[in-house]
Amino acid sequence: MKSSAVTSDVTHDLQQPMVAIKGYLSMVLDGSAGEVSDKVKEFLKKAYESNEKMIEMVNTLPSKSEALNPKSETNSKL
Amino acid sequence: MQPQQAVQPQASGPIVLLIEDDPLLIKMYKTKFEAEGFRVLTAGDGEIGLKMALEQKIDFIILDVMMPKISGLDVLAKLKQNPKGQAIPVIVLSNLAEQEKAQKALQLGAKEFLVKANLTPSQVVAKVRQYLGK
Repeated sequence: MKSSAVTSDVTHDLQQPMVAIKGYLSMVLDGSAGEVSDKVKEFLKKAYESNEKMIEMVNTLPSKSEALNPKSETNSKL
Repeated sequence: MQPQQAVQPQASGPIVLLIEDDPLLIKMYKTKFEAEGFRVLTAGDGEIGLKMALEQKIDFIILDVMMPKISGLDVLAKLKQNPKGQAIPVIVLSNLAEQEKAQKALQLGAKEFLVKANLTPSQVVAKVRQYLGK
């Protein structure tokens, strides 16, 4: 398997739980799960924002991997 | 948790078929769509999803890309080749922002290629409403 394909798989697998965290937190924040206190909302917003940062970081994995292994076949078999 | 294979809708409203292999995401989108008045059918892989799309009355399809048995793009191609499925609007929902796959999905007839991490369930519902005009 090429390193780019491995990175793509890893990115996909990391994204999946982060998408679930983002989605469920957004549903709590938009009231889909009922009313929550302002304090709880404040804490959940911080969790949501941290998850967004994680998503951004994971999104950069393919380009970082490409920069480290520019079309190199020597690193393509993992 | 085992992937949810097929669940029948319970209420009235447009019927959305969600083809997605992650049980947690199925539950998340299903909860949101049902709360917004949609009926939701779910399929845990592309093969079952394609069969359901061609055999049941579906108003809209949300389609994952990376799935077991048949990929989302292959499901889309087969759907659009079939007279029973070609008119059903489809949004492809992927984990990865891959330009090549996005172009392929649009060429095959998807309304949009969206990246899951960029959208909340509310925003996905809004997209579907936009295309259904509801």
